[in-house]
Amino acid sequence: MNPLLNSAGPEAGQRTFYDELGVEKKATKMVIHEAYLKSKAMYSCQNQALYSIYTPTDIKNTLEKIEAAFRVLKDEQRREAYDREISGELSAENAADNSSRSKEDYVCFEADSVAGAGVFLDTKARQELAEVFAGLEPGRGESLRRLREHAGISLESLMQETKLSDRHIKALENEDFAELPAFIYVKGFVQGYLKCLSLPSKGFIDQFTVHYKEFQNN
Amino acid sequence: MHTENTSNRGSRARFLRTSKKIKTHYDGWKLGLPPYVKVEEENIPTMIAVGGGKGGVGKSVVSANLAAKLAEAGYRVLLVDLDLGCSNLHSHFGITMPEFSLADFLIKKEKKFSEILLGTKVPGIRLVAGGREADWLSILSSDRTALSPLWGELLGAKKNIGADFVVVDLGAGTATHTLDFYSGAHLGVCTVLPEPTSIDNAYVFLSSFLMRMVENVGEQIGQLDEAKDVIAALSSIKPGASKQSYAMALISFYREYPELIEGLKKALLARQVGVVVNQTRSHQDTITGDSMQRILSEFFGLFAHYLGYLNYDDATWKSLRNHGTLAIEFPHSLISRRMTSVAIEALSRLGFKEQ
Repeated sequence: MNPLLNSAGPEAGQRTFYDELGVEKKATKMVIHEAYLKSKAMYSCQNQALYSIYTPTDIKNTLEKIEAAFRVLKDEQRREAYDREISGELSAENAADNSSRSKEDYVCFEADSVAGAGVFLDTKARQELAEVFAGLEPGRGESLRRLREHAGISLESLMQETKLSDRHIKALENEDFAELPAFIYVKGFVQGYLKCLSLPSKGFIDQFTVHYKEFQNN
Repeated sequence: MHTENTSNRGSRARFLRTSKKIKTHYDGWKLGLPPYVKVEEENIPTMIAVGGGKGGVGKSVVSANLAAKLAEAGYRVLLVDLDLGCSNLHSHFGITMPEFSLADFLIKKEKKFSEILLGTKVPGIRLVAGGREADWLSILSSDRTALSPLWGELLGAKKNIGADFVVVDLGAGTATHTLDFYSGAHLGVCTVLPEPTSIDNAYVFLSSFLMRMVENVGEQIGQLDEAKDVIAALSSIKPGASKQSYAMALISFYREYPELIEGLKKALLARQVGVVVNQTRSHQDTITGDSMQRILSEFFGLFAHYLGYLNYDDATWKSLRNHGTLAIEFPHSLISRRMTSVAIEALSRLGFKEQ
């Protein structure tokens, strides 16, 4: 959108997730998905139109914003919540109140250094989860399940986030190693699973490897 | 009166003879004109300028074929070659050596404008050849108003010869008269190749256009000094290095020069910048136009629209060797159909599409 159209002042140029993807507020799910793919291609490194205007950091930031916008808009519930929020922001009365709330809710976009990582958990929930994580036995499928259930994430949404199949997630959680493919992939699965919960995966995977090797040797 | 496009199967879009949008934005359009241009009446043809900065990106091919497509839809088009000094638009229409050119009208002053109009093999198109006189360079550089008789004729073309559209083919570079005609157009087509050099030049061209618009508006409302301030500030912005964009800078000047910025906004709203990406070879190439549309809107503050891409096609050079336009030589080629969709997009943007 052309910023000149709201020339009330630079403060008025508050960009919404819809602006980020260049879609209208009432866009359908399909339109949003297409706009997301297009926006990603528009800011890809092969695009000749960018480099003389934006720095690589600008482009990286924009890509992250596009990811963040899509994360919210693709999910109906989150989108509804977001819509309520931005319409609330427009009414100037409790603008300050709302902006602090929006930071609380979506802090993991900015805080997360890995683009595309982590489902929606606010800071508090993440801290709690990290505590639970520390108390669990590392490298166990059962621990993975408990973490997921504690975070309140369904199998379906995890499947969507991690792009893992239902079968593989269940096999991971039940330590049904025979169901899983070659170990190099399994490592990736565990990493993706934990990344999705915004948890560190290194020590956990080491322990997991030990269990997997035990199974292989038997 | 409506015209219907029957020669292209599948695209049965109907278009209006006149555009309401252009009428509504008439005042804004006038506000951005070069100060020496006098507009006598409101009944003006729709002005389309084809520019783009770099040479060899297909400005002539786009203007010749866009004109041909508009004529095909049923409009009367006056096509003007303003690549003065090295003009060659006539060769797209089977004319090897034009009998008369703009030089006869403007330099030698022997002919009237109506006498230098050339018929073409495309019905509905009248061509004005540019002329290859070496004098053009010195004339254009010494006197900015040298072309004002031409402005008068072009703006009067609707009344005098019934032209619906005036399509001007501009030369490469950012010469004064090139930017003047680009700023006088309702639709400024910017032709680019999906190559860094071409896109860079297009950005340079369009930033010069933006600054020319600030200057024109400043002069029209009697705030030339203020406009010069704004231009100096805009010139200090280095795209690719600083965080500031032209658009945000303009908004920030609103507090100091509200009249100027308000006028500029009005003038820009009356002008579309249409991006055409030529010689695309891959899907990624076609996305270049989307990126440019977004950058031109968000960074430059222009009202830009991606009109479409033209794929790399042997039909282009083959039709040139036959001294003809694509629409006539290869009507069923992919590129000819792409050209149709560019024309349709341009017409919709200009408000000719029936609602």
